[in-house]
Amino acid sequence: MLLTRGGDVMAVKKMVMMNLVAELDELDGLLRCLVLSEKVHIVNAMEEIDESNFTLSMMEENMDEIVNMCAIKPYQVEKNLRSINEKMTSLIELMNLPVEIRRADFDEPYTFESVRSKVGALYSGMHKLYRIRDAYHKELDQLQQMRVLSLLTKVDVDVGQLYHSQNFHMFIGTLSHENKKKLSQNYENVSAAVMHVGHFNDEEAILVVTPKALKKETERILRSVQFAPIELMGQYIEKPRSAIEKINKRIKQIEYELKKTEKESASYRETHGDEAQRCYSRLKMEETITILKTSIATTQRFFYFSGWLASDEALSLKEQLEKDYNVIVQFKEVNEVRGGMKPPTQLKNNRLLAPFESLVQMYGTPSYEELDPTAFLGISYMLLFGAMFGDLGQGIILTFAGLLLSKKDLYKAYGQLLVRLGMSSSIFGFFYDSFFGYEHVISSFVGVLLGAEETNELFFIRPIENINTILTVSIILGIILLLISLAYSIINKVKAKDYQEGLFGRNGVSGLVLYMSLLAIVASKSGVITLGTFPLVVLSSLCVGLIIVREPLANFLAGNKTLYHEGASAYYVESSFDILETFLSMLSNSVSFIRVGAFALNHVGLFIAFHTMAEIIGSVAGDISMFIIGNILVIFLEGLIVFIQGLRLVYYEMFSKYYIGDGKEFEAICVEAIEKA
Amino acid sequence: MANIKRFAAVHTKIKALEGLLLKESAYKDLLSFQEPAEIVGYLKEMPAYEEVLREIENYSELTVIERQLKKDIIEKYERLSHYFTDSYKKYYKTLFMRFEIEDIKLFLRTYLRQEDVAFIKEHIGQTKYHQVDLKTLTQIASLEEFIEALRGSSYHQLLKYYLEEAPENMMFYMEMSLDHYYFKTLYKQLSEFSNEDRILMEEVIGTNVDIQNLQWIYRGLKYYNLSSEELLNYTLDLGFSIKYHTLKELCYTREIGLLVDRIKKTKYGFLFTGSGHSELFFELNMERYLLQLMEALQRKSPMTFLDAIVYMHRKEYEIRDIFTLLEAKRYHAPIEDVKTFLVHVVD
Repeated sequence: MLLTRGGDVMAVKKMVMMNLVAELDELDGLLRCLVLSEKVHIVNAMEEIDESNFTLSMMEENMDEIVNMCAIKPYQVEKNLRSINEKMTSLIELMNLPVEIRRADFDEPYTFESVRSKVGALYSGMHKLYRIRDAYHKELDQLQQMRVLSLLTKVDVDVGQLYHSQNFHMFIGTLSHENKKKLSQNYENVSAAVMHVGHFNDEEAILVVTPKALKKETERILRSVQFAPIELMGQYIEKPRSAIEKINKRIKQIEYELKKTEKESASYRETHGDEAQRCYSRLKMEETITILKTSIATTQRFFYFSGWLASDEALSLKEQLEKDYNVIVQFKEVNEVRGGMKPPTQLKNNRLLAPFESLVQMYGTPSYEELDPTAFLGISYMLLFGAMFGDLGQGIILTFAGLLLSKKDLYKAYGQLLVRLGMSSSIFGFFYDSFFGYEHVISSFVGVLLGAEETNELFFIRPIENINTILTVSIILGIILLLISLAYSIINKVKAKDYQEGLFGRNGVSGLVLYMSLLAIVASKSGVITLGTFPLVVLSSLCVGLIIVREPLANFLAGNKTLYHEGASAYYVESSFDILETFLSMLSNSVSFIRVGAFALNHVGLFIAFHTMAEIIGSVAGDISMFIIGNILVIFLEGLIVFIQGLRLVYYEMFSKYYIGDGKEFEAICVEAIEKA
Repeated sequence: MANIKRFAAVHTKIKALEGLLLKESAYKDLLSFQEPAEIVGYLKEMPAYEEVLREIENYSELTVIERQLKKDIIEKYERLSHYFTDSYKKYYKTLFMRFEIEDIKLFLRTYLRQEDVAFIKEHIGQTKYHQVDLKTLTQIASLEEFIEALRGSSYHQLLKYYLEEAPENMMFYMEMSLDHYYFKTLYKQLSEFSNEDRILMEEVIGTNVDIQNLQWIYRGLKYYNLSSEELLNYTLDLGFSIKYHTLKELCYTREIGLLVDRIKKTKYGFLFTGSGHSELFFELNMERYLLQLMEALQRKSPMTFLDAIVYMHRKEYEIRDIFTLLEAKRYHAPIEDVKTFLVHVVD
């Protein structure tokens, strides 16, 4: 087995399968190490063993492990993390700690049991503080409710007399305005005296006095209007005015006490925050490991782990693992892996093109065998976007917007995408001589700078003054892009050993030759090139013939007995319609690119409209406002349309020819939300 | 004009769905069968039920069929939600609350009967728009804990209030409280509708509220002997034709015969018609009336939100009827008797 240390230059990273065996004692440590490396895409080890991929070379030293493999079974996850998780969550909340996982927390070896007991201790310590706080808060709530007495200060009779009365029962409480109305509409039938005392907490407060004998009945009625009684606290049942004074005093006192406990918990956080944070990191690691454990296989003494990783990282990981643990690590190339296990795809592109991976992923992840279309997509998309939305000023704005956006983690990929599109737009804008929709600004500036006015007409091309050129160039650009797509298609199909489509199909060699000869016929007819059309017609007819008979031909060449997978007549009917569609789509796909030029024109056209409106308004203010409105509208509206149209061109005209995208994305096992290495 | 734009798509969809409802002739066929198995076999041939009943082999397990049908309508309704926008979409989603409320009632009943809620797990018709994932609550052992688990949803407050009631009354209060909440929410959300839809729906919901109030007063007096004040305070003041004054008069009628007489004088007198046990027909009369009312309104103003409401009622009543038929055939009830128990009026 050969492993290269250097990185591949290919954009789909080369993968190897890693099989790992070690003693169960080392399980936790090893898994932690693998998780932290963030390089491995896990595969269920049981499946791997079932497919007999998990083979160890027969050596004396491996004897134990091999003998043990006979009694293999999936790992039984026994750790229950629920209660510790609940404690940890409330700890983080109470201590107001940042939810982040620090790498440094895994530097020293530790056991999970120690984490469990530490969390328990921290939790009970913190909780003692909070029990006191909660009691204060509860009393505070009650006191706030008691302030309802302030509504009675006008009368200022001793509430106690009524409250402790022998024959009457008193309620005080609140209900909604709507329900209060209901109650008052029916006062004549209520078995109690009801007094509305005012508003309290956005509700209506009432005082109800009822004979003790009718208490039950009154309670029922009150409940039917959703009356919320306020429980009076014994020590404040007296004359409302002095009661309120007492209550306010007590509230102040509690607030003071609360501040004190706040300080205590702050100092607790100070002394124990770091410890808690470490526990948090380790707990999250444990969660990840617990999930991973469902994919490993064990025997009584050993465990078996399988996963994919990039071949250029394989050796260094192996060295690292073997240094710290007593472990057997073996690698296997993709073609040695049996049972249809397809490796995941990890894309690798340079900094300029990497953000375009998100556009590729949006369509589908390339399969491991496919060519990574990111580079082609990135370059063509930048070209198309710039050509359609060429404006130096607005391009700069897009670039800055992208820079701002990429500061936010969530929108990072989109921001970076926007930066590249904005730059492309600026470059095209420069050559279009368009600055915020004003043409000739750039050229005169360059003219002043260089001092020669005529020469710079050579490298400026203003779309509106060169309509035909712009449209023709966009079609030519389209044709070039289509040819490249066809080339990609041929490579992809041959790589996938689909010779029928790769050689004779309409997106294969035949298709490519047919398309080129058709183009040549058109070119010679229109006098662009001088070439006899007869050989071209023969060539294209030959290609058409090949496309029609591609299935029987491919089967014949491969030596298959059955030439057609369905009836021959059905095949030929379908195949000839297919040819018709091929011609149509070749035409429509090429013409489709005319929109690139059209949007470049449209961009200028919109600005002409705004300039005209500004002229009609005829004032400086009108000019400025039209300039601003026009630019905003164009950036958002046209920017969006061009973004979509560009995407349409790459997805529909190009991807549909060569790209399948049914791969599986490489997802390295890692702890979620861990800080970047 | 705006309504054509707003409802064109859903209208077309509903027309297609209505085409799948059982026709008059189908009802006649169903009535003529002898055994539940024949009914299921017949329905399996119908496009609307083919898929749903395919796996049903044992015809005696009515609960399985019921579950299947319920799941099916929920799925159908959920798919319909994509055709609505803005406040109409919101409203349409609110309509799903009744499935949730139905299931909560199922929980409550199970607790009060002191049975194990684990058994009702399969009966819960979870929809996308539920506030609570009720299926996860089927391990909870007691009513108090169940209501506590609803904390965070609007139902918690509604139910907690009645936990202190005597067990024999508790269910009555809780059901009322949930039903009221449903109608109140629906009524409140109407304010965001266009004028035409609002007026139509106010009549529909208002009529529902009227009947709900009458039922509350009638049962509250007959079975629970609640005080007049309580009866009155719990009525919903959103009725379409029975207003506060009439309600108060009804609530303060303490004699059941007199109460029925008084109700018979209102627009809703028909509720108490029907031979034999009048309560049995209360529900049926209400359903027939509501359907008639809505269909009349729909004819007067086509292309409104009502289209969806009417379809849903028709579909649900149809399923009810299928159930009545299955049960009736199991006990070999005479055709003429069965007819009177169907929401759909068969000539």
